[in-house]
Amino acid sequence: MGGLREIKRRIVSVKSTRQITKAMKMVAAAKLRKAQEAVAASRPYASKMAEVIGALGSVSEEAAHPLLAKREEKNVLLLVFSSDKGLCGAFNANVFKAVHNVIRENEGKGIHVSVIGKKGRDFWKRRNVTMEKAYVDYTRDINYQFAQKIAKDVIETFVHEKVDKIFMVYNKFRSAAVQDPTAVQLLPMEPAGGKNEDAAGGDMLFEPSAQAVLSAVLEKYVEVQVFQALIESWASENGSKLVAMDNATRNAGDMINGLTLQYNRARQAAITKELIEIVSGADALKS
Amino acid sequence: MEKQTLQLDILTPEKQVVSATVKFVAAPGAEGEFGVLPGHTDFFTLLKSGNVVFEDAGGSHHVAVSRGYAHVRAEAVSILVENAEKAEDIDIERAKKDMERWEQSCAGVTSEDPNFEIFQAKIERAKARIETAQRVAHR
Repeated sequence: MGGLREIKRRIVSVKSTRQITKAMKMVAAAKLRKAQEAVAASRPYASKMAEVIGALGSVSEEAAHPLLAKREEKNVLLLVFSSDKGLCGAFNANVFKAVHNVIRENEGKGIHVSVIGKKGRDFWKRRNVTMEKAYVDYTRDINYQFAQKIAKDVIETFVHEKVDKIFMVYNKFRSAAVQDPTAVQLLPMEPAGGKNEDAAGGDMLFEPSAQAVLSAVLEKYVEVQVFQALIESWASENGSKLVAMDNATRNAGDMINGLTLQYNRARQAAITKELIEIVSGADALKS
Repeated sequence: MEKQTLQLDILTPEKQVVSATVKFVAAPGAEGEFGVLPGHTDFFTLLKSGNVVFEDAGGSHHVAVSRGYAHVRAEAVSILVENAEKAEDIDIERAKKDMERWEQSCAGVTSEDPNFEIFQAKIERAKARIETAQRVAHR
């Protein structure tokens, strides 16, 4: 009989776990929708920005702007986008794997890391890298100001020649089920390739001057890229969490089914046993 | 005959605030306010925070913008700023309070302070919002 109660208790406990994972799944789905909207809303600005950089292409080639400066690569900074919270599948592991790849490609150079998210901080703290900055507890303020702050810090490390090349590593959002961990070069900025733009810089007017415009735009462009990575990473995190929690809910359901079956069998066995006892007791009296 | 309208986009990193077909746009350039009619020459400028006015079939509209820049072509104007608010969405009381608050925090710092720039920008922005909202209110 003790076994019965034991199984009952386990069923109750798995059920409450399922309730939790189900709730987390709903939350992730709602946040994912929000994040996807944010990604979609930021696209016009970013693509316009890229267009402008293209139009400025001819100017940027002559200009020796600090953000375009190519130096000998002695130190590399990796800007890693991770999450604050766990329970989101392979989200963080995927990013870290991508980071490891970049580190391997840049063997022999000084590796610096700036991380966004607690998970990343805890992971890279114990590794053999120089931690520049860690931004944690950021989930509440995913907005442009936050991206600006990060961009400002990275630009500073770059301009002061602490590092000579900067990569961003984050989960690019494909769909709720698919995220690509990617590494993109942030600085020095590659001169915009689009030379055949219709607005070929020649007869364009700049105010106050091409130089002033260029430097304002380049800085903004870094901000925008960081912002895009930030929200894409956020969308990926919630997509990953959604899938993970969906699986967990389904697994809990399977487990409950198995346990219920086991419980019913045990109960039936107990009843059968009791019946046999009664019948054999009656038989004994009769004879 | 050239096209008589402009495609105006006012974009912020977080959303597209305006997308409209317009007849005229005026914006606060870094070196003074400028107006754009269809057929304008290619032109690129930084913007101060202030008030953007545009006219479409339904009359004129005001939008408060923060610093950013504008890309002008013969048939389109793109305004890229950090913040933009349509006049009708501005809460004037809040804007005034913001302005007071930032002016107070600005009073204590010198121009060498790294925050000085930020405070100045905040004040400018609050001012732009108040002005934009008032323009609409006075009509």
